[in-house]
Amino acid sequence: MSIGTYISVTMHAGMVILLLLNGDFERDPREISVTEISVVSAEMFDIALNNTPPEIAATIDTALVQPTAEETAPKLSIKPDTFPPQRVQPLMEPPQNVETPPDISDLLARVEDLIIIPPAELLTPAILPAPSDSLETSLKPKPRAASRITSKAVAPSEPDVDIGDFTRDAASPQDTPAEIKEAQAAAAPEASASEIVPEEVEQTAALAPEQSTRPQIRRMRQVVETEKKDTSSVVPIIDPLAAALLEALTGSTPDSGSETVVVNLNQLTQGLSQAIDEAIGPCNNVNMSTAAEQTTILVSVSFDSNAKIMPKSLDMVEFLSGDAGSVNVRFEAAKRTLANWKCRDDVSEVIRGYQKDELLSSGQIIEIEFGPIDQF
Amino acid sequence: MFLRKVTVMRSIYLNVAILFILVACSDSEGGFGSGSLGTDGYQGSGFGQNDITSSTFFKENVGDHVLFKVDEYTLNEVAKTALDIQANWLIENPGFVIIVEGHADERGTREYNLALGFRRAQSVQEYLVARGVSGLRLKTRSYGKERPVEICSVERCYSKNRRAVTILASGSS
Amino acid sequence: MRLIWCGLLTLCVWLNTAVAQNAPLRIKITQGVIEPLKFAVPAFEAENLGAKKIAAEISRVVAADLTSSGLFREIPSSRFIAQRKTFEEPVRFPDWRAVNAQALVTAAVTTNGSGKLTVKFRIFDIFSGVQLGQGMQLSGSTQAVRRMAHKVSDQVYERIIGEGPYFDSRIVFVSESGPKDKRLKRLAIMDFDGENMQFLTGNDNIVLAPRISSDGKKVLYTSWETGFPQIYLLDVETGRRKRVNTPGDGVAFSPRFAPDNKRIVFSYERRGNIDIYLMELSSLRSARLTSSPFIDTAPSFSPDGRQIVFESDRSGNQQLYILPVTGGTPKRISFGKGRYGTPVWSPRGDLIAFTKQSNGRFGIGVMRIDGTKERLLSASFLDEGPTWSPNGRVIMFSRQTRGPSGAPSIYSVDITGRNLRPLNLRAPASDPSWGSVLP
Repeated sequence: MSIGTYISVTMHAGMVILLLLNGDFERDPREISVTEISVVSAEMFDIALNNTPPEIAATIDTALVQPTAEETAPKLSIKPDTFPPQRVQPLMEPPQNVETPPDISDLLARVEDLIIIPPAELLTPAILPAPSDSLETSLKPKPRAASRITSKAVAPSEPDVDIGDFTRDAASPQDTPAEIKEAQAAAAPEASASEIVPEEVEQTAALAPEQSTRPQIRRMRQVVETEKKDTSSVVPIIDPLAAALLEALTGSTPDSGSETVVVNLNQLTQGLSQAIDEAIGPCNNVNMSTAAEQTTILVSVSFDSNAKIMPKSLDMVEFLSGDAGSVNVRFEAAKRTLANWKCRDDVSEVIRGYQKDELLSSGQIIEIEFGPIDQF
Repeated sequence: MFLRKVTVMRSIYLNVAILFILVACSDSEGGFGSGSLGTDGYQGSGFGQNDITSSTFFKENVGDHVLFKVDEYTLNEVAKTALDIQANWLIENPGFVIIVEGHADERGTREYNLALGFRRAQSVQEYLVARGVSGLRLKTRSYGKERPVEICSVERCYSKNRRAVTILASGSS
Repeated sequence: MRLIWCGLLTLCVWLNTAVAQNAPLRIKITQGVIEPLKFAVPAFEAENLGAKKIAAEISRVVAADLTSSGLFREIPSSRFIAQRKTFEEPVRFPDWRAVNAQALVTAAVTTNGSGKLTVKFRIFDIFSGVQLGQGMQLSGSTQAVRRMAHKVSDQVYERIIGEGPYFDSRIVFVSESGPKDKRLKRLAIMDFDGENMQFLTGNDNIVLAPRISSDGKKVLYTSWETGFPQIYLLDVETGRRKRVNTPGDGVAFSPRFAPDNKRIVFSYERRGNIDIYLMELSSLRSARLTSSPFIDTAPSFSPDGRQIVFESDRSGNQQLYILPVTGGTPKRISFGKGRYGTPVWSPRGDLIAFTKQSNGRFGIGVMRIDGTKERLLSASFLDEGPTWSPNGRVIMFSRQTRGPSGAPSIYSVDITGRNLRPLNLRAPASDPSWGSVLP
């Protein structure tokens, strides 16, 4: 390890301790608490069905004309029978333990409203880039502009789901959308009773996967739609002092070379983004409700040493408004999209290309935004 | 001398009348008759084409309809002339109640065509009133595009369907 | 002090570099496809002998409903690997995955001797390997077979797609017969899929534009049986009807219910002037909503009952306008080339469907309530008169063919413009009006 690294470590430690003692990092009581990310997929939401009873029309007076056609609508009735639970026994597969890829949540220091104390591990060598490397200042989180873009109609092929390799979670069943109010059942007379009572499904037997603890969706902030920022603009190095220090430590001259480097990186990032978009597009089935299609979600996923997306690492990062049900529908669709082996192969080709140019490191997380494609 | 003139006039008149009738009947089915259902087509006092006071006569000789341009309900000169003749006859024969019935071609949505039919009927009614027909005798209604007289789907048929028909009912109703 | 400065500097550098180096790469997906979701409906179990036929019928209706939406595609049973015999047996997820099923519906049907029927069902997300939501049980008379099947399909549709249900609903329409210049028209009602058709009126006078109330119990329509257009209110269950008397000496036509079914709007003609009126059914008191010398007609309520959309030719040709029911200045919302008519407000409140006429063709379109994002969903010689499904996702309309033998039929289309298909009825039909999902 170089001298510079030692200095950096000491300074970091010193500064942090100083600030801690000063109490500058105490939590603002107004802050939203951030829950741990776990790598199991998103929790389920309640789906509330709009189920207002129909209004009674005005009563009619005596008819002027004799009734002609007799019309009776066959009626359904409720019966709150107990409904034996389904034995969920996956006979063929062994019980699934959800594998956990390396926990990288701590590495994702988010430069956002909340200030998160970087854990100790991060104080290990921050690898300052050599002169030839690019400064990745352009990879700052961009505002989530949910702009609409038309989709290309791709001739649909038969996407085959890779059987062995997707998230298997046997979380508790979603609440049924047709949740009936028991009061309604009691009030209505038997003859005209026509509601449906959902069964109660018990949690099941031995071989069934346990109820997974679906993590709370981290809802960092509800982003209001902003105009789409020009992603091709150059993001220069912010702090001239930092640049000076950088120069001192690495011997590079950022002022002269860095801007060009930053520009190149922006274009390359865009290229990568577009390439992955192209690769994933054919598997992105937007066959869903209007509300779900107009919901935007941001998911994170990492890729393995073969540059293949690991579907089990899929996690929800953020979502743009929308009701809980729609977010869930969107998320399920994203799950299916990223589990598709054909698209994963295509994406891994793209990524491997970029890894050759050392623009991506193995195990890096990519965040993917799924939003409206303007079909409605 | 005078008598002979009258006889000649009368036979000429009769021949012309027969000619009109032949022309009218040789037209396509339905022709210029009052193809609508319901309360129209009542016979006036007397019957047959010989009776110039009958509604049949009115239909076939005086002419009971006027035509309109697409989306229009204003009367052109031909229509006005026809209505002048109608008005004269109606004033001469005050025993009838009159229903003016508006129609439209099929190239429009249902409600709008109903409205157009009403407007056309109204134009005719107003004109007849202006020509001296008592307003008390007149009613309007519309069938929109529901009762075409011609059923092909080209302008030749459409132009005949865009019409207002003057229908006679006897007595007071 | 210097320590602090150095610390801050390195922190800045660190934040700019080390952290950034590990910041996730952000990709935005802008492309997508629309593919039907594959489902499997294995034969439903009949828990007693008498239920066998019914079980088969219910499974067919469920499959047909889902397929008809255009959003689902059935996996034929010949391709099944797993053969299910009973309702309670566990689901062999890998077998279903192997045939690419994304959803599986299992059910069991029981009948008792006296015409009573019970259906239990479960829905499975094959992809995730779990049951989707809770199972349910429905019971009713054997006459309600199709309705039960529609209730099952509605659950599948809702849980997987996320849209509200619409299969268990009915449509009132006009059944037509006879030659084009002497058409006979009768009111009729049917299930959304065209089954169980029944006539509501016997006389064959001209009847037009029936509109069903949101609870499906009443129908408003216009009839010429007296020789003049009149508005009638018909009770679906009893078949009784009564004339709705409108004030004054004008003629009323083309009425529509308000969402609360207590008020109606209609067109009212007097002395050649056609305007829109609002009326309270219980008191028959009415209020005039428009008073222009132009043709204002075809009003439709917003789902909150506070506004109406209607067509008017006040700008020179037919265009669409929105107006609060409390009155005010109508606001124009259509601005494209052509004429806009028969506007109908979606039950979701987000869109307005309409008939557009341009270049000699007629088509059904939708636009946002502010008039933006206009899209045409169909076009032909004569498409007109849209009506919305209860979930605001599907539109039905009349399509008439040209010429002397031209006849109308009812079509439906998804609001994405896909899945345009005719309703298979035995006779010509027009003027559909789609009621809400039955309770």
